Amino acid sequence: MLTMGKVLAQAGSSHYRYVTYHPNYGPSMRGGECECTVTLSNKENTSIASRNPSAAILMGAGAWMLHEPQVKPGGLLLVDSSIVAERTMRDDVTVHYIPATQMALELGLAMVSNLILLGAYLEATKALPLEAIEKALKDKYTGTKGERFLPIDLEAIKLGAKFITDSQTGGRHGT
Amino acid sequence: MGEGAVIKQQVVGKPKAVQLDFMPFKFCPGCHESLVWRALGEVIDELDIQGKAIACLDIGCSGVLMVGLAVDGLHCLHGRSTAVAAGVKRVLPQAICFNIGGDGSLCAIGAGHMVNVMMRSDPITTIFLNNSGYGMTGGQVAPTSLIGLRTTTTPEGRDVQSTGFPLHLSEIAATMLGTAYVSRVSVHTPANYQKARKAIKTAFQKQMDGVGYSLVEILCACPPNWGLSPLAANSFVEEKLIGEFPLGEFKNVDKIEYTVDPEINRVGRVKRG
Amino acid sequence: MADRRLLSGNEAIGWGAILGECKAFFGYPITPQSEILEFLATELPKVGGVFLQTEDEIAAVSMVYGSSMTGTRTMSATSSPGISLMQETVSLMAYLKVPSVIVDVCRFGPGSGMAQTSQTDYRQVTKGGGHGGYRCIVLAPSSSQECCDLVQLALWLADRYQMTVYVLTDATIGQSCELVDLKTRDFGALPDKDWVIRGLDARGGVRQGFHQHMWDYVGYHQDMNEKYREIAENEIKYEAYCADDAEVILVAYGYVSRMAKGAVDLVREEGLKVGLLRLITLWPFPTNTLRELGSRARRVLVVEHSSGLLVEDVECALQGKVPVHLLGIWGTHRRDSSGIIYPERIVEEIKQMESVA
Repeated sequence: MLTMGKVLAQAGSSHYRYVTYHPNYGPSMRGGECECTVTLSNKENTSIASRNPSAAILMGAGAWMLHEPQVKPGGLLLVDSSIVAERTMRDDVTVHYIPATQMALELGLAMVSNLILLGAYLEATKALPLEAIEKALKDKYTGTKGERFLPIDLEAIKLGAKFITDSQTGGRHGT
Repeated sequence: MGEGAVIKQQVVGKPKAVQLDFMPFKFCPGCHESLVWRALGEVIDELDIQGKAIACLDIGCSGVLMVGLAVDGLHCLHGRSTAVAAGVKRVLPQAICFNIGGDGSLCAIGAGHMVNVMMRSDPITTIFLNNSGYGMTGGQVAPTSLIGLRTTTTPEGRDVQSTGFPLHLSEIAATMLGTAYVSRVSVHTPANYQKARKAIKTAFQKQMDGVGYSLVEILCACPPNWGLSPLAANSFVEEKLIGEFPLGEFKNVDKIEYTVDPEINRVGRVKRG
Repeated sequence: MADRRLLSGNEAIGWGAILGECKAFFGYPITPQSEILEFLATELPKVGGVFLQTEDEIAAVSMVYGSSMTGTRTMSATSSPGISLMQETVSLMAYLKVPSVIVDVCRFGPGSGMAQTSQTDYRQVTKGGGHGGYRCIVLAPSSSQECCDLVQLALWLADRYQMTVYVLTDATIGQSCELVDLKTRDFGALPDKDWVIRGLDARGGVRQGFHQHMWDYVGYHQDMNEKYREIAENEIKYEAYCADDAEVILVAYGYVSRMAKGAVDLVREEGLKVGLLRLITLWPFPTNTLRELGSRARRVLVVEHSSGLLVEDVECALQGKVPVHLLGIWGTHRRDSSGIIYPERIVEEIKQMESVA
C-alpha cells in the first residue's frame, strides 16, 4: 500500500507542481494496518491530507469501514474484491470491484495486487499517463533486488488499466 | 649555601603542564590525587603534548584536576566525560583526548559509556581514579567499594546481599577487543608512583600511535571517607585495596587484530550499489 | 534548474544538515526519527563530516557538546523519549553557551508511548526542557521544504546566539513526502568562535576557563535574559494566512497547522471569515502578533495534537480579552495512536463553535 502511494507520488512529481504523500501506519516495521494519502495538484497543497479524498483504493476490511463513507460525493472507489466482500450502498460514487489479489496470483506474484489497482486508478482518472508510473518503477528498482520483478510489475499496471477499459466497454467485470 | 653560590641546575620544580595559579584549590591531607596530578603533568611534558591535549573532566574530586592542569579542558557532567572525550576525538583526531573520572563516574553512572568506548575502540585515554567510594559527595558506597566497608550509605558495611560485589573495570576492559592498553597501578609508594607514571605515558602513547582505547586505573587513598589517618590510609591501599584490585598490566598490544568475513559483508538489509 | 526532489520531512532535515554545513552528527535510532540517522550515515561522510550512532541519546548529546566545543557545526536528532534523556547536557550547554541543533521528531507520549505522530513535547522544548531555568529557540517546520530550510536556519541561529536550537517536527511531517527545492540558505555573517577548545596550540597557549560564570551566577542569568530579549526582538517567525479580515483565528504549528490551513480553505469557500496564525518559532512566541490579530477577532481556536499545551501560551498572550477554544487530541480520527486531526474535523469544530456563539 505504502509502496504504491510512494510510487504514485514519485511519478506525479514530474507532472504536478505540488505533490504530498502522507503515510500513516503502526509502530513496527512490518505488518499491521496502514494507509496513505497522495495529493497531486497544481495548486498549493495547503493541507497534508484530507479526510474526504476524491478517490480511495481499499485493500482491507478495516480500510473499507474507515474510508468507504468518507470518499467525496462524485468520487471514485477502487476495491480489492478478492479481500473485501462488502458492497457499497452509496449511489454518489463510482465503484470498481477488482479481484486484484486473484489477478495478481494469476500473474504469479500476489504482491503486485497494489499495482493492478494503481493501473486501474490511473485509467479511471487519467491523473497520470501509465508511462510515468512505469518510469517511476524503473527508477526505483533498477539495480536493486527488486529489478527481477519489474516485468511483472509493469504487466500488473497494464492489467489494472485494461480492467477499467474492459468494464467501460462492457467487459466481463462490470462495475 | 655560602656567599656567591650560583644555582647551576634546578633539581626540583613542577611540570610545565601543572599550574598552581589558575584557581585556588586544595586536596584533603593524604589524598593521592595530587600525585596523579603530578604524574599527568610530567607525562604531558615528556611527550610534549601540552599544546594538543584536551582533558575532559568528570564530576567529583577527579574534576578538581581541571584547575590544576595547564591544558585545554572541558567541564563534563557526571559520568559523561568518556562520551565527551570520544566526541571531541571524532572531530579533532589530532588532539590527545583524555578523561579523568572516579569510580562513581566511570563504574556507576557512566559505566555504559565506558563499555561502549571500549567496544568502538575510540582512541582516547581514560584515567580512572579508584578510591573505593564517592569522594566529593561524602563517602557513599560505590561499585568499587570493598565488601564490608562502612560507607555513609552502607553504615553496617557493604553487604553483598544488598549492594553486590566490587566492580573490576580493568579486568572487564582487558577482555574487550577494542582496548589497546589496560593497566592498574597505585601511587602509594615512590616505586609504585614511577610505575603509574610509566603506565600513563604508555596509555597516551597508544593513543598517539592510533592503536585504540587505553585505560589506566589508579588506586587512590581517601583518608577522610575511610575514616583513617593519611598514613593508615596509605597502608590500607597496600594491605586491602590491592588485595581486591591486584596491580598489573592487563593488556598491552601494538595492533588490534581483526578480520572482516566477506560472506558476512554480503548479507544485510542494505544492498550495494 | 533548481534541484527539486520528492523528500520526506526526515530526509529533508538530512539535506538541510548537509546544505547548512553541519559537519558532525551523533544520534541513536528511534522511530519515527531513524530516517534522519540513516540518511546522514550515508551522506555526511561524503562531504567530510563525522557520523556516529552512539550507545544512547545521553552519549549522543554528550558528543554533540564535545564536538561543538571544538567549533564544529554539530547536530543530533531524536524523538520524544530521547529528548528527555538529553536534557541534562542541554542544560550544561545552555550554561556554557555551546551551539547545538537538536531535532525532535515528536512521537506519542508520555512514557515510551507509541511511534505515531503527536505534539506532546511542546511544553518541554519551549520552556527549556531541563533544569536551571534556560531557554532554547524552537523552530517548527510544517512541510518538507521548511524542514530543509529551517534546519539550515537552526544551525545558523545556534552559532549566532551560542545556544541550543530545537527543530520540532512530528511523525506526520517526518514521514510525509513533498517536493523540495534543495537550496543553500544564507542568513548573514556570524561572530568568530573565539571560545573553541582545540588544544592550547590553537589559541597561542591561552587556557580556556571551564566554569565561565563560577564567580558570577547573577551575571550569567542577567546576560542570558538580555540575550533572550534580543532573540525575541529579532527572530520571531510565523505565517499569517487569510488573517487580515478573520473573525476566527486558528493557531497551530507543525503538521496540524497544515490541516488548519486546509480547513481555512474549506470554510472560506463557504464564506466564513477564518484565518490562521501558523507558528514557525514556538519560542520566541509571537505574543504581540497574536494579541493584534486577537483584538480584531471574535474568537481564537487553538488546534494541537495534545491535551492542550500550546493553548497555555495563547491564553497568556491574549490576556483573557478574546475567548480561546481548544481542539486537542480528541480531534483525531481514531482513538488509538494512529489518529490524526483532519481539516474536515477542524471545520466541524469551527462551525460548532460559531453556532453556539
